[in-house]
Amino acid sequence: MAVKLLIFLALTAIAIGIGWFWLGRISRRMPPGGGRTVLILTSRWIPAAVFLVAAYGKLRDPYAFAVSVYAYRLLPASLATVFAVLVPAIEVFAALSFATGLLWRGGAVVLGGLLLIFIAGLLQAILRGINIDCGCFGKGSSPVSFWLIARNYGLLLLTLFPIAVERSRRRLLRGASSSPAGGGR
Amino acid sequence: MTAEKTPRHPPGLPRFLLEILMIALLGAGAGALLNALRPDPLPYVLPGSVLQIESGVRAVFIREAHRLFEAGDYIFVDAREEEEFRAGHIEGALSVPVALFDALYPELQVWVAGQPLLIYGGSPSLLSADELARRLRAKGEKKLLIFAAGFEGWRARGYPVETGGEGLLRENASGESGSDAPSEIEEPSEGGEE
Repeated sequence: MAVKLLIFLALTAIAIGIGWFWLGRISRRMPPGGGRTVLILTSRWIPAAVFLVAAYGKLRDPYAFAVSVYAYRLLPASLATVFAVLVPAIEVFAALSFATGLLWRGGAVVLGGLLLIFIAGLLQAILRGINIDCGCFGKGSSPVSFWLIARNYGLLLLTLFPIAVERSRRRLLRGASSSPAGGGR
Repeated sequence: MTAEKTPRHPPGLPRFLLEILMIALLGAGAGALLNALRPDPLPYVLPGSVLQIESGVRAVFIREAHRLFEAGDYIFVDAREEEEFRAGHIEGALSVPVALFDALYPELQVWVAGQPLLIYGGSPSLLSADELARRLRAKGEKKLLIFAAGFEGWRARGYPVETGGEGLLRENASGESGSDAPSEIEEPSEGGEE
């Protein structure tokens, strides 16, 4: 059981590492311009939209969401309700900041962190054989499955993409530090 | 585009953390506020049984229960033992101890006549209320709710309670041969309809 969990965590870490590596490569090779802007905006708006829809479902019925959270058997009842009350609202703020660009780095990290938590929760539910609804979108969500983990992983990569692009740009900037003002263009 | 203007402030770790903190605090504050403003706020402290209702019946909390009480649409059903019921119950509630369910159901059915039911038990455990809800569901009752805080939660708020045997179905049930005389039963315990 514990060994299985460690293996899966290691695999997840490797998968995220590979994803991060490729994101870096893609972002470095992509010429700045319209195409890249579209890609960055897509990679911000898709996760943001998914999170907003999910948060709406959870906010509409916090009790149902608390029931879902508790069913994961990770949190005691009182923490499950705190989670159910606070997390959907945090999702909204993070998604809005990520979508609009206001504090978007913080938004990206919060969304990424939430996705990691959700992936971990789904994984442990599958490994422990807990047959539950994922509660991802509030009431009436689909049952937990590896497909949901893959979906969250995809969202995680999308969320990380703008950060990867910015990192590579900063690296470029540092390389061409003789003209800092025009370097970003 | 906002994504394009970042080079002015190369974001170091502190800025990241600051942004994360701001989003988390804003979100948490908004979430707590939103919950407090809800018609039926989710309480932060509650027993696990409230989140694990096996009958599949939805739980409501103190504000919604009180609203339903005031509106008078719901019949309140007390799932606790008869002695507990006599010692104190929500005003106008009917007593249906789980152990006596089969004996009492025919008469309860006459009382209920399609009205929705709000079931409560003692707190902190919902076991009796949940079990009663399960049995009522099995009988085909659909409009059911469970009041999570139970009698103690209700009394702690200072909401109307009463003591005594009014609302007991048992005496009537044992006195009547059948359940087809609702008019006679209704008179002695009017409180059940409030």
